[in-house]
Amino acid sequence: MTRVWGTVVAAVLLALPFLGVDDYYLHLLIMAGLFYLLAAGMNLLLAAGQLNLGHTAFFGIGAYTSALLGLHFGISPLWTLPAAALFTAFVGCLLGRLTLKLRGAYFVLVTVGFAEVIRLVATNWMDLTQGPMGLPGVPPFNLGAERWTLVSKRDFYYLMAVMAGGTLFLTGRFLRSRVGRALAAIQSNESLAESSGISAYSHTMLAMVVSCALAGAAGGFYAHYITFLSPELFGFQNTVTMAVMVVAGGQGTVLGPAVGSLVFTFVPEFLRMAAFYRMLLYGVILLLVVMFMPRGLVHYLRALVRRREPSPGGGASDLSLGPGSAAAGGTAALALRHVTVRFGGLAAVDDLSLELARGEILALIGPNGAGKSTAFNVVTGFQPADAGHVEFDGADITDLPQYRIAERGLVRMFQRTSVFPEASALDNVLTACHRLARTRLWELVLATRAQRDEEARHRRRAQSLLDFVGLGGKAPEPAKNLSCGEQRLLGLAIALAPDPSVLLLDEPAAGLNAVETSELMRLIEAIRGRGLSVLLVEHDMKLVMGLCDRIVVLNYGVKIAEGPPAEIQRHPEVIRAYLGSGEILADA
Amino acid sequence: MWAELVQHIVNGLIVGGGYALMGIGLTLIFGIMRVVNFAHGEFFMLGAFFLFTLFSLWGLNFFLASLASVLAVGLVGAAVERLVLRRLRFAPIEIPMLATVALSVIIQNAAILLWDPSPKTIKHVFSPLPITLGPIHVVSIRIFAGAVAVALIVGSHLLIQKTRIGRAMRATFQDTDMARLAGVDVDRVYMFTFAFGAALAGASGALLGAVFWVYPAMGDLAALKSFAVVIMGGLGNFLGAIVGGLLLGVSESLGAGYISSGYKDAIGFILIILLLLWRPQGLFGKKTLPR
Amino acid sequence: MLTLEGVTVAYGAVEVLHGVSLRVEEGEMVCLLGANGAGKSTTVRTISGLLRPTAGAITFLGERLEGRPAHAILTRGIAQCPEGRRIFPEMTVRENLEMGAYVRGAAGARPDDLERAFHHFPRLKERAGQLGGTLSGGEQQMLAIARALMSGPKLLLLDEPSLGLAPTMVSTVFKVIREIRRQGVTVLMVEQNAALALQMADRAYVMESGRIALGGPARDLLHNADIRRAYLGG
Repeated sequence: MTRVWGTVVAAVLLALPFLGVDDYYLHLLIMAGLFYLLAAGMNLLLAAGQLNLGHTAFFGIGAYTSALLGLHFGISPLWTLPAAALFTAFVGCLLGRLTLKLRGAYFVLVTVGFAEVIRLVATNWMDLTQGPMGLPGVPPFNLGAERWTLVSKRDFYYLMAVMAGGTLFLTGRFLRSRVGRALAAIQSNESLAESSGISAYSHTMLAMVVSCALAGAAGGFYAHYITFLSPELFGFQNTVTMAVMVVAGGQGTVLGPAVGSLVFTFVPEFLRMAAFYRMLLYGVILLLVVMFMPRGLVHYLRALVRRREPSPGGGASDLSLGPGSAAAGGTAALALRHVTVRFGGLAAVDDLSLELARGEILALIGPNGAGKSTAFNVVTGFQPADAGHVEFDGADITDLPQYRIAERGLVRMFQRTSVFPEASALDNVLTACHRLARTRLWELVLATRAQRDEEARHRRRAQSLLDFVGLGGKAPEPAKNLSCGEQRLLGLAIALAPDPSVLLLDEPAAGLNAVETSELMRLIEAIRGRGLSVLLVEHDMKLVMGLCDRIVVLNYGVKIAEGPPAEIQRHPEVIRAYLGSGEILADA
Repeated sequence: MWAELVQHIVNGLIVGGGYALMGIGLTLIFGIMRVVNFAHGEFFMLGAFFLFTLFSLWGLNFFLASLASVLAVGLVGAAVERLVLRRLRFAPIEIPMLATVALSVIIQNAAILLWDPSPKTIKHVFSPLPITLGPIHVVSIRIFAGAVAVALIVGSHLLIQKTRIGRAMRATFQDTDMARLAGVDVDRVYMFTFAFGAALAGASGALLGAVFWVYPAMGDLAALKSFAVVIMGGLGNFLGAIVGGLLLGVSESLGAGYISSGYKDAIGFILIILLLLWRPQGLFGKKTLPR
Repeated sequence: MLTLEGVTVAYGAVEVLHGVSLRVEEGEMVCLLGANGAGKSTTVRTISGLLRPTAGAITFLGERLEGRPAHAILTRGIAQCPEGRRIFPEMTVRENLEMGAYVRGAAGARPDDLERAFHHFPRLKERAGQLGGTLSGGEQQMLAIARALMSGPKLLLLDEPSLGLAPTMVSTVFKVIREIRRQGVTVLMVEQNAALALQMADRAYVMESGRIALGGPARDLLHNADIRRAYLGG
């Protein structure tokens, strides 16, 4: 259905110059296209939760680069435009290296500052840019030879159509693929994303570089279209305009920036507004959108026309899970050796050693504050250890970052509910399949056969996992609408998605009723049946005693007992640790 | 030679005092409310314009007009918090940021409509003849600006450390839930914090507007510099904002005097970039990142 | 004095308390026991006003309190000493106590309240000018309890006062709690250390999965096998 609409709209847009449409309107469309490139870039980065309020700086850098290369070296814009885009992407990469590890508020502030510095440089470095008087005489666009110079509005219109079309295609490919899911995951629940094998830094950097390349290309186009540049390009006004387009159009969507750029280019023109009235209007619109409709137009329109994607289907037999019986061997699946963690002077975990055998279900229990979560955090890379190390399948993983640990096959399911709330249940699990992807980025962009097959395969896998945990019918439902028990099952499916060999469950039964707990026990047993090893922290004794092969008991960070459930239940130290001894009041 | 250096430093400290006031407000707002206030420059600008209107246009006494301007900006801040920010308190962090961006655009363009865009000067009550203190010459208005800035900085410190509302602010900053359990009306604290931050920005604008010029876009650079100040001092760090503000003022003054005046405004950012390369958490900030 | 009837609380879509009903009579000490995750802290946070119940009623001295903001509940006479102590790390001991008396208004802490605090907790008097964050775990617990008392509450909610403390410290803390009771303050205490709690309390409730599973006089529960089962499942 969308294909049909898309083709019709594209055909109409392409035919416009021949339908006798006035040059004035073609110019407006060109400007709308220009802003679309800028808004689309900003949107891509915003999809990862990063707001770049200095985006106009990259626009200006692209413009001046292409212009100056043409002016001083006489190179044709055919080459300078891509060169400008590449250079701008490079600058974006540098800025990203500096700031993306900071994220959040710092990122926004530094990008704003960056744009201001660039503006000052452009204004003051007269030799390079001729400063505030501007740079006139930029060579017009030609496609290699003099006779192929673009002169008429129509020529530029088609060039912009190509560029806008390319941007639509590129951003569409990114946002609708695992890259888009990864960006949304980073924004929505970063620790879960990292734990699923998604590197927040690399993906945000990718978005940054692509968005800067788009801005640079837009700048290059602008330079050879308008043929006059001034430092005004770096003004904050442009950024506000872009922001309104992205936010009002619909952030995170593919069409949002397109709708936003069309609306906010045409409406002010038709209203014939003076510059500051226009900006005032933008400000008011932005404020109202942010306050009342923060997801933007496209999102709300889409909600009205709710479409459900058909479930890809797939039986449990499709599900490949666990190393299978092939992975036999003596080494423990997971081992902690003399791990100690200190907070201040207090040892939260004191010289803890334990081993999880292959195919075993081991529980770590202990009273509140005994150090169980800290131990878990050390294993998964969320907490550095002051002493000791962690071995996974014989290899030392002590200082690896979270997403690398996940890549090796050790996956953690977080305490309470950890899902991506806005995404559908299917997308939740699909996002977690990230680390299984083998196709490369260029294959993703070009939508090669291999990539499409892989995507389909992952979809089937996600559906099978949902079926396995009993959520098969809830695949299109947004995760936040699921009940507590269902979200927990979803969390389990997410943890299983990257095909782990060892699963760490952090209080999986917390908040579940008796029925849900039995279901959980059955599932964990089934998971073990597939060859996985499970280490869990739990307070629910029915589950622990009923399910586990062995139990390790911690108190005040120290292991006080280890053995099968029956032994632990009667162990005097354990009883004392949990129920207290009452001896303390003896001297009262 | 020395005289010139001292002159630059003194000028820098006075302007730096203004930056410190802006920085304190911004850092308090971020530290307590977790909001990055992009409209901070507009509060700065409103302070200057209110003073201009009350004093230069309507003829009110200079000192009364200054006080009234600061209070008026505080009221605007309180209104913004109550009407806009309170609704967005639980939204993801970009939303309140974008809201303040929108507000900054609205306020600035409204100012263009209400007063015209041409720069104005506030013909104040102080004599334009410089006073000579040893090797340096300072115009009276600058001494006034410097003195008031110092008074406000000290006053802010006393407010936060010694008064009941200040304790409530600190408690909210350190542990919001516990502050609630101790009986603090956190809604009121947020409104007061934002209004107070706005008022400090307004004071800075009134002072620097009286020293230099008044025009609707004057908040832009002031805002950017206060961002630089709080990044240097660490988001949420009161002392850091003061030190950062003074440092920026002096660096700009020295930079303009000895290197180039065109790039003076960029000095703040160059410093930031160098600082972030060396210490990503700012001069005083803690290692945990604001999110 | 305090009654909860059918209190239900949810974090978003997830229901964590399912119709909790309990009562605390004036002058009593009641304990809320149960394994971790049972909902004890959630119950206490709801009484204090940090959480709003989706159903049910909370009545204190004849007045309905559910849904009221936390500061209003404090002025009615219920103070909480939260789990993990939560003293203000960058305030001095004295300032922390002053914060406890915040609801006294502009007048600040009453001098005799301060005196009494220092009398109960001489260690705090020694460290009056020290920053809260530099105190040891046991001292912080003392400070947290002292701070809660500064508002002159009628009902004191204690959430896991023995958490993370060495046994000797626990002994001291519990001695103080007994002293507070002697002065007429009603206490509702959440504790994991069931044996200790039951020795001190008049009555107790045992929670499991967001519900009250058992309730009765402490003496009876002390020897009840059900408790061990609730904790250790055996």
